Amino acid sequence: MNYPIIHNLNLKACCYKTLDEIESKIKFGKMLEKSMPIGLWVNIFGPSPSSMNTIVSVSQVDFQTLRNLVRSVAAVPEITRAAIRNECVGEWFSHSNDAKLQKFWGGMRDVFL
Amino acid sequence: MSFFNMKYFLVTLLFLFHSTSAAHADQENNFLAYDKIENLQKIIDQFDDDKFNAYLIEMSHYCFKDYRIAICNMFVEYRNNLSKVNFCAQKSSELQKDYNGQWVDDLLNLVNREYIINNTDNFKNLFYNINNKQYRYFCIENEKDVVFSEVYYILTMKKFLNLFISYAESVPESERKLYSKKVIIASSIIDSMANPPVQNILNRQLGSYLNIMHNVDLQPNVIEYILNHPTFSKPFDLIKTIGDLNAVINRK
Repeated sequence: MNYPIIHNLNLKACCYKTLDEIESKIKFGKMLEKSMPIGLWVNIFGPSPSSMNTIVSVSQVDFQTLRNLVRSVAAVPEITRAAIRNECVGEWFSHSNDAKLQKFWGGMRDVFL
Repeated sequence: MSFFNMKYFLVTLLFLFHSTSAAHADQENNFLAYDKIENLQKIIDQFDDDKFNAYLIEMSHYCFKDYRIAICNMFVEYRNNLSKVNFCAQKSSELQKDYNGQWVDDLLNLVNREYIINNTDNFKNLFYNINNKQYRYFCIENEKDVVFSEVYYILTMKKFLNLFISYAESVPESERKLYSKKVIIASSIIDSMANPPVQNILNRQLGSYLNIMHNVDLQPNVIEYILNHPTFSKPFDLIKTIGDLNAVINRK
């Protein structure tokens, strides 16, 4: 599978909330290695914005890197992956007026295929 | 350090008390859902104590060995059910990958392109609603089994550990020190039982609980056609489906 790279992505607060939920799902699956840094996404997307109106610009999202990250920190069971994919598809659907965000959430879904 | 990470840190530290290697501790840390039965037995066995055994019989009519056997049997049943639900989720994923866009051509035999363009949101909402229902129901029988067995397993394990804590609190002050480390271990295990699979399975999107016709206004024959189409009678790829719909709309 070819994983896209997205440049200059504007992530909304709702996207961060879903990213947090995805991270929680992985953690609740108890599949994390203890050496995992706190915050799975923070180095890539930055910390969650404090306000719901904040839009954070991410200069580059490389899905191959994301996939490698997910693989390296977690052996995620299929039922958890399915739940995460469903979250991603929900975000993909709700951002139908933003092509970049749709590409982002479609790519995130594929990371957990 | 957040509370969540502090908790994991504490559990990890405590398991190291009775483990000779970090790898072994890793395995024990995962005992709740996916670990080997031997590691669960080791966790239970550290509470093996004659006086506690007598306390268990007095308080609950069952001895230490009864608890050990029952909890391990519950764990095996739970683990088997987890395997089944993961297998079902895998099957669902494979069905989604088998997505076929033939439905578009079939739909165009029923309605013209203008109808699709004029009702784009209705079509998208219908596909979204069907997708949510598929996600909710496809593995539901397996999910019921895993939830059911998880509740029994976790409640019994918690009951056993809480009885140990009660026992440790009931001994004379001078003896309590003997049990202090094990009480911390028991408390940490109880705290760490956050129902992980249930958490993952039951965190449904709100939409899956709404009517399949929510925000959908299409001709009855079109709805009937889509609902009865083989593509949508099993898990399907929503992103590709809407991509195919958009391709029809954008056709020159």
